[in-house]
Amino acid sequence: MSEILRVENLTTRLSARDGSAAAVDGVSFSVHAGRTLGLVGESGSGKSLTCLSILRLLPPALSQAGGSVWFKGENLFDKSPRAMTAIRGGQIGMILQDPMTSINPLFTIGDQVGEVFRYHRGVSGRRNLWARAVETLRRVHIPAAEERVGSYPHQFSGGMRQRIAIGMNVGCEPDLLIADEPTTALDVTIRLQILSLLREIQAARGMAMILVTHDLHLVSRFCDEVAVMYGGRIVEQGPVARVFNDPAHPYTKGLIGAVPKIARHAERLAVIPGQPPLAGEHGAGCRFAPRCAKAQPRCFSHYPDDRRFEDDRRAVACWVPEGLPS
Amino acid sequence: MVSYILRRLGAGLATVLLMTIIIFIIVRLVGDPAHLMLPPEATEADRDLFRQQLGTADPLFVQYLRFLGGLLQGDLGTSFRYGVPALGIVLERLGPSLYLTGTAMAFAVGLGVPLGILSAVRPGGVADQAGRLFAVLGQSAPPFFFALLFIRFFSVELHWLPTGGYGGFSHVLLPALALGWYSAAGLMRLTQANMAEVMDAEYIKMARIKGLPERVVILKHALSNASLPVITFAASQFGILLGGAVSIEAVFSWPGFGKLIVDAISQLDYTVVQAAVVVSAALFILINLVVDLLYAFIDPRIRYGR
Ligand SMILES: Nc1ncnc2c1ncn2[C@@H]1O[C@H](COP(=O)(O)OP(=O)(O)OP(=O)(O)O)[C@@H](O)[C@H]1O
Ligand SMILES: [Mg+2]
Repeated sequence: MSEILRVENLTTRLSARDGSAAAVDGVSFSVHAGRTLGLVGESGSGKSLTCLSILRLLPPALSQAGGSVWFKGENLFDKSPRAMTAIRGGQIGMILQDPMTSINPLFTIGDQVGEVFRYHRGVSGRRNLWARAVETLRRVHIPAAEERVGSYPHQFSGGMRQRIAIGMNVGCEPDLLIADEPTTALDVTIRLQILSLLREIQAARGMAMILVTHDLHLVSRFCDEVAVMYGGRIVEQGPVARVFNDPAHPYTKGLIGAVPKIARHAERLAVIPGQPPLAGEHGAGCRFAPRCAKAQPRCFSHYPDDRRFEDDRRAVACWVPEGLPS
Repeated sequence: MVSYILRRLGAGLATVLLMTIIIFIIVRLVGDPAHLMLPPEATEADRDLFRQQLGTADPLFVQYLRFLGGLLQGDLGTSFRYGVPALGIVLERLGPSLYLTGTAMAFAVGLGVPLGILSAVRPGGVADQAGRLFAVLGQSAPPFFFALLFIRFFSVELHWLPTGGYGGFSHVLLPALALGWYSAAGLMRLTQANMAEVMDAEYIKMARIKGLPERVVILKHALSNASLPVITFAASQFGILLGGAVSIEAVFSWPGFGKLIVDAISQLDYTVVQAAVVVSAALFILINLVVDLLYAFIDPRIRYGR
């Protein structure tokens, strides 16, 4: 099982006039070929910024402040901008939340799917590009792909558009696909179809995947590992079954407790009392301490180190973890 | 699509008709050529005869119907002053005016749009700073002021370019720059604002995620989406430029349309004024039609929506 991506100590800062604040603060995790990492956490916990940092596509207000991103053994932070352009869309794909806005309304889907072959595979000529686009659209199960390749985005439903977006990002057979809440904007009935599609594509070539979601049921169904983010940090990570059955961090425990066991599709996560911290607006201690029932004085003054356990397969950052000696 | 074009054309024709009625009445309110063109010592009988020759003695609606009848046959009447077809005079002067405004427009688009793109792509960069200055200067004074400034500097002091007169590129350069600067500034601002907004769109993020070269991201994915309001604005500038050309043509002794209209109004040359209005209204309708077609060409939602 080969490691495709290893993120080490990733730190992303928000540069404001009055100093800067870390929006992603020392995040580390890794993803392996053919496996899926679920990234969960409340709104604003830094999930999307973590993903964009990997591709080095942070919005202008944010900047990379440290850490490294090892992709197939090479640090992406050492790459030239040109090399990054070749990696994006070629070796790492990413799907965004809202397929209604993430596809350019003015160009045909054939054009926009074909583009990746043009710029990553040197395919030229409209006919060749469209042939590749049709092939890709078939792979993501767009019905009547040959006829629809010349259609425009507004002629497709949300679910179809997300399939098209997936097509654009897996056409060049990437080794890693990042899906940032790929189903949040879609109808409940379509969500599972999209995830099955992702899984099918993953299985075909052993692609590694990061799935960002608020839906813990999706994580338990589709992910191998899970990393729980809170306030720009990963508070707990490990194999999904282990983490969900035996959460070590009070925050993880709260999340799982907040999900009704019977409901198939969980609601959004913010059922734990209190509000998550804004980037930079927290003390030196654990970000979750103000909302934590088990918090002790040291929780407020010192951030706990990661503790590894269960043969190094799990990690938790807590002074008083559940089921472990504190 | 075809029915859409036909509808727009129909609406355009209605606009021309309305314009002709308005100008027909207004120009007759300004004054009576029988008073202006005959010497003061002419008798009232002389004046009546003169009015009958011009056709201004008839009731207004008879005159208007006669005008419409002529319009259908492409005859817009004879100039009171020069005794030749009014349409011919107008078209003859329209050429130099279009040459001037066209060059001014090319300058406005050619400078304003790239500057706007650059300053949106790199906010705070050199292009942004230079563009800001360029825009503030361009919008700080009326075109004729720049015209005088340019003549003084480039023609009188440096002797680089002629001070006026009709001719090739060296003649059109200064008046076109003076005329187009204001529009260039507006175009720059609008392009910048639209590009800046579009650059934040999710499909731009996606274009980058796909690993497209930055030039493709900006010139294909962003510019296409930012272009619609810019095109509308550029088209609306044609009217502004033709209007502004009146003063520029005077300063540079450019034999254009603007001066012709001003002269025709002051000389109460009804037919020439009417012909000029018909021609310029038709011109604007044509420009707007081209804009509509461009819209439909660029945006499939318009193409399929109607
Ligand atoms: N462009 C930006 N400018 C300023 N602050 C930003 C920007 N993008 C994100 N942030 C801030 O960084 C923090 C993390 O944002 P991020 O988008 O990564 O959260 P998220 O976990 O993806 O949340 P969500 O579940 O809502 O998508 C938030 O506090 C957010 O306010
Ligand atoms: Mg997000």
